[in-house]
Amino acid sequence: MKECEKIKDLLSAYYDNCLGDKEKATVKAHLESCLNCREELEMYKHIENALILNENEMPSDEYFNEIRKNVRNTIESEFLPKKKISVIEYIFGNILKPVPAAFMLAIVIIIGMFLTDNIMFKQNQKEENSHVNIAVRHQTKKHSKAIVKKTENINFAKNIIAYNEEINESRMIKNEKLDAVENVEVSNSDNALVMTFSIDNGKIPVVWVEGNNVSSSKEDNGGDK
Amino acid sequence: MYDEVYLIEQCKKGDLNAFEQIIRQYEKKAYYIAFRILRHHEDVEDVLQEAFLKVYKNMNNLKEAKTFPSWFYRIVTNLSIDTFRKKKRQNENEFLTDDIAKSEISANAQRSVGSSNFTEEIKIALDKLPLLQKTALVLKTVEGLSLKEIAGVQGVSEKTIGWQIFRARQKLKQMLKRDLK
Repeated sequence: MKECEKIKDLLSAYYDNCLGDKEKATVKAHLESCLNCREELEMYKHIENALILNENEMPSDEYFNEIRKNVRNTIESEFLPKKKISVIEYIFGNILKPVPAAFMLAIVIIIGMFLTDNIMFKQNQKEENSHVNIAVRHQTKKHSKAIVKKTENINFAKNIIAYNEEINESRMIKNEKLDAVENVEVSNSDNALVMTFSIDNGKIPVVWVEGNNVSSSKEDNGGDK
Repeated sequence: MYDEVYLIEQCKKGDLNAFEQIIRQYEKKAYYIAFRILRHHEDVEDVLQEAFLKVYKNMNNLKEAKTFPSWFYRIVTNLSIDTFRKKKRQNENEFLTDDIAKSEISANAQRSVGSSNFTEEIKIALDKLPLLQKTALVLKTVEGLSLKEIAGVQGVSEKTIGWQIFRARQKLKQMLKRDLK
């Protein structure tokens, strides 16, 4: 029994594998012959089992997610340098954050449609102006050899067939800016407008133009009468 | 899955995602240590948040990445012990009476399918142990830390830790024998 008292003082360290070789051998030898001490060692095992992590005792994943989220927020607000945000980020991140995504999308689409219409309208208007300029001169062809004054207004051609006499080539000008308009005159033909201008930085210096879409304007404010 | 040493190095550079990956690996063990000491989910939550922030803030003080686990457990344990003492001082009569501990364990027992009554008796007895003995036993048994590591955690000698664990087991044995009678 005295030996048991001595061994029990060493059992805890034996269980934790913290004894030297000699003491370990002594305890081991005693345990083989002593039921009482083996039961005590068994008790240590029960204690360990009771302490070992039990998944059922663990809170849900949400519990840990919440902790991590709070920690991240604190770190971002207190430890990390504050990120400079643009006005747009501020508006979308703070002011408009509560607005539901579908509503935001609708707003973006409406703004987009408005801008597109506006741009298209201005483009059409610009093209219309160029068109009118040419058309006016076209209408003046009623008057023979009416000379349309050189005008800087004629700087845009759309959907006209241009013919270059020098190189004997014709090409469709769909939508081009004219570099320089040197002379514009109405031909004797009812269907043609003769212009002299250059495009492509002078690569086509002399061009005869036949325009069938330059006849829609009702205005007539150019040329001699 | 990245190597822990790599994650720690990234974390030292301020990489928050690397930090979260490390935390994910240790949060449940940290919870367990803190819960064994505090016995209240809410208190454990506060301690874990504080511990994780402390880890992030002081990561650059960690010289060797391989010592991260014991360094981390030290932070969790010390904060848990501090909180326990603070709470005990604030509310001596309400906090951690045996009845509360027993009722909580009883509730846990109802949730723990297949857990034996004896295991629950051990848990109840564990809550009656002195704080440092209980902590030393938990760190040794649950986390598998060496006596040297636990000594580092508690700031005492290895010999003292060995004695605390021995005394904890002796007391548990006595309490269980008495309760089982």
